[in-house]
Amino acid sequence: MDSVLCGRGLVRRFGERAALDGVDFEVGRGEVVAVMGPSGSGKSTLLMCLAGIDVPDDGVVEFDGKGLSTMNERGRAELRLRRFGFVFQFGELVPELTLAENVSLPLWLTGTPRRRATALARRMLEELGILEHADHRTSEVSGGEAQRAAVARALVHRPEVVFADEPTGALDTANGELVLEAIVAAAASRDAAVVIVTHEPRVAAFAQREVTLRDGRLHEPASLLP
Amino acid sequence: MSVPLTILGLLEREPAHGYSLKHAYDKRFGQVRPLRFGQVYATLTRLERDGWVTLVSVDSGEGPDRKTYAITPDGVAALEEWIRAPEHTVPQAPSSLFVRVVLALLSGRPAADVLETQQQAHIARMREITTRRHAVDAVERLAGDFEIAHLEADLRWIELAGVRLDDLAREVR
Repeated sequence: MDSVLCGRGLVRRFGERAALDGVDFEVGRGEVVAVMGPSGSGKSTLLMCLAGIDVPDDGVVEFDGKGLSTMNERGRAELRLRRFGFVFQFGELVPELTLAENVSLPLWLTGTPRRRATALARRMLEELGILEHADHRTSEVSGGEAQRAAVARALVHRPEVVFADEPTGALDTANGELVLEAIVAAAASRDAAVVIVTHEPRVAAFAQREVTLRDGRLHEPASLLP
Repeated sequence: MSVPLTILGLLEREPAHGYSLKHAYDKRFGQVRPLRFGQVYATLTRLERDGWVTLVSVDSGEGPDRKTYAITPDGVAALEEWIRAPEHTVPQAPSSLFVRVVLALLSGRPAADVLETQQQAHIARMREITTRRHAVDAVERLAGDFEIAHLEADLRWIELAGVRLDDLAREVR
C-alpha cells in the first residue's frame, strides 16, 4: 500500500526520557491503524509528531511525500487545518456554538461561504445520525452525541488523514461503537487514512492493524500463523 | 447451557419436529457447538417422559416418521422458571493461559511474550467478529458482542499481569 503519511526514525526526548526512541510508522490511504500501548508509552507523542503539532528531535515525518520539518509552523498549521482532521477524547467542541456551527468551523476557517458550510455540516451530522441536534448546543446533547459531532467536525472538510486520540475514552460501550463506526466508515468512503491512539483492544479491533508502543519503541504483531 | 430447556424454549413458539428444531437451535445457539440429530430426538423423548412436551402428530410419509411435539403447561412453567432465575456465578477455574504464564514465571521463560502473543490472538479474534458485524442478524451480533466482552475481560487481565510481571517474577522464584 502506498503510504500517505510516514515517520522514520522518530525520536522525541523530554529531559532524560525518550518518549519516542527510534519509531518507524506508516499508514496508507483508506487504512485504519491503531496505535496501542500503556499510559506513558509515547502513543500521544507519536500522534503529535505525525500530525505536525510537535516536532521530533530526530527523524522525519513525511505527508504526501513532503517532509513536515521542511515546513515552517505556518505551513504545518495550514496542513492541519486543510488536510488533517482531529478527534480527541473529550470532543473539545465550542460550548457557545450549536453542533452545526461547531462542525462548520473548519470550513469557515478555510474560507468556505457560510451557506455552503452549513449545508455540508448538516449533511455530515445527518450521516452521523444527529441531524435532529444540529441547532442544539453541547450542553443540550449527550456525551455520545457531542462526540459524534466532534467526529463530524473532524471529517467535514474531507481530510486525508484523521487523527483520533482515545476517541471513545469518555463514552459507554454502545456510544463508543457508534463513534468508531463513523470514523471507520469515513475512512472507507473518503479514502482517508486514520490513526487511532488507544489503550483499549476493543478500539483496536476496529482498525485493520495495530502497532504497540512500549518504552518508546514500536512492536508490530508477530505472525500468528499456527 | 441446558439443551433440553433451550429446545423447550424453541418449541414454545410453535409445535415442531426434531429436524426443524435442530436447525432452529443451530442458527441461534449452535455456532460453536451444533446439536447432533440423535441428541435432539433423545432430548424430545426425555421431555415427553417428564410431561413437558407432548406428541401432537405423526406424519408418516416417505422415509422415517416425523413426530411433531408441542410444549405443555408444565413445560411452559419450567421454561419460565429457567429464563427468570439468575445465572449462578461460580468461581472461575484458572485458564490454561494463567497456568502457562505462571509456569513461564517459575521457569524463567519470557512470560511477557506469552502475554503478548495471547493479546494479539485475542485482538485478531475481536477484529474477525467486528469485521463481520454488519453481515449478521441482530441475534448473531449480540452473540458476537458476548464473545467480545469475554475477550475484553481476558485482555484486561493480560494488561494487569503485564504491568506486574517484574514483581511477580521476583516473588515466585
